[in-house]
Amino acid sequence: MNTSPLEKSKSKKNPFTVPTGYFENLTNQVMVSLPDKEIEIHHRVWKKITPWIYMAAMITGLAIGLRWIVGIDANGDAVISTNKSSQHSIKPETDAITVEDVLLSSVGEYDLYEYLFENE
Amino acid sequence: MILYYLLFMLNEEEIIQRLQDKKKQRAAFTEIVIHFSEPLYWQIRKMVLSHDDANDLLQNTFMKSWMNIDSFRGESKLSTWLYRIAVNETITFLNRQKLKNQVSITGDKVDKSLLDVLEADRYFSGDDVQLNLQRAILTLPDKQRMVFNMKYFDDMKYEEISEITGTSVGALKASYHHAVKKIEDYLASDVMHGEN
Repeated sequence: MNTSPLEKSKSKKNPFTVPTGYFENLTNQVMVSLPDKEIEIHHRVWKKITPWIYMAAMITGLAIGLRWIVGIDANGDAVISTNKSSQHSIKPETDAITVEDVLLSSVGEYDLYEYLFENE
Repeated sequence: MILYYLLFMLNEEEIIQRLQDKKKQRAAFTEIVIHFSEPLYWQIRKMVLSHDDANDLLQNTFMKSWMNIDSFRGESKLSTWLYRIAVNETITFLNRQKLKNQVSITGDKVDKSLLDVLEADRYFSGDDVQLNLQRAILTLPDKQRMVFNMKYFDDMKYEEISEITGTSVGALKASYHHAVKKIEDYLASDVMHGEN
């Protein structure tokens, strides 16, 4: 029977070889290289919370900066004066805004500037 | 070894269940590596030809499988899932190599860079007929070469190949027959050149 060259080649043994003992040690070699899943989980958690930590640090920095800009009175309360003549007064006034007020309200930076210019 | 393969086939569901349990996951994965390392290695090796590259790609395949094992829900067979990762790793590697060597295969030309790899590999012990067959196979585009290897050397079913490659059975049949014709023509022309 006339067989094609492709058929002739198929009957031959695998021409590719591997180093001696390669398959015997392969499982061990693969398993050793795999990372521990526990460590990986911790790493993933850290990766997830990192942006939140950065955001918290930014807000804290902003709060400290704001406190420094508006000034601090003797009792430690930040004061924004309502009229120009008493701008440098450290006396707490009834309609004064404290840092706490700013942080607890949803007043933005723009509102604050607007408020300051209105009262100039 | 054959008995071990049969036992694995019977226990595949149980192994998948153990994979979901963090405490038993590593032991279950060890069984997967024992079972699949050899067939996956040969699948990769026939594509990249060099033992060292095949070894690296096999390690990457298991690393990716391990890192993504939590997303495996058993919708496909474990073997299909693993083969798919191995095929993707191999094709990506070959594309990267081609870009690096600035190779493009057009017409019936043999992929010279891969032929050089084969001829330089000390773990290839084929005779002239086998080397010639490899030369002929290297005239095929990578994806067609993969289909040819799966069908011709591993006798895989078209349905199985279809699940791995994401190509329809009809397209695979056409691709395989076209590959066989191309290889036979190459080998026949080589015989004629030899006789002249």
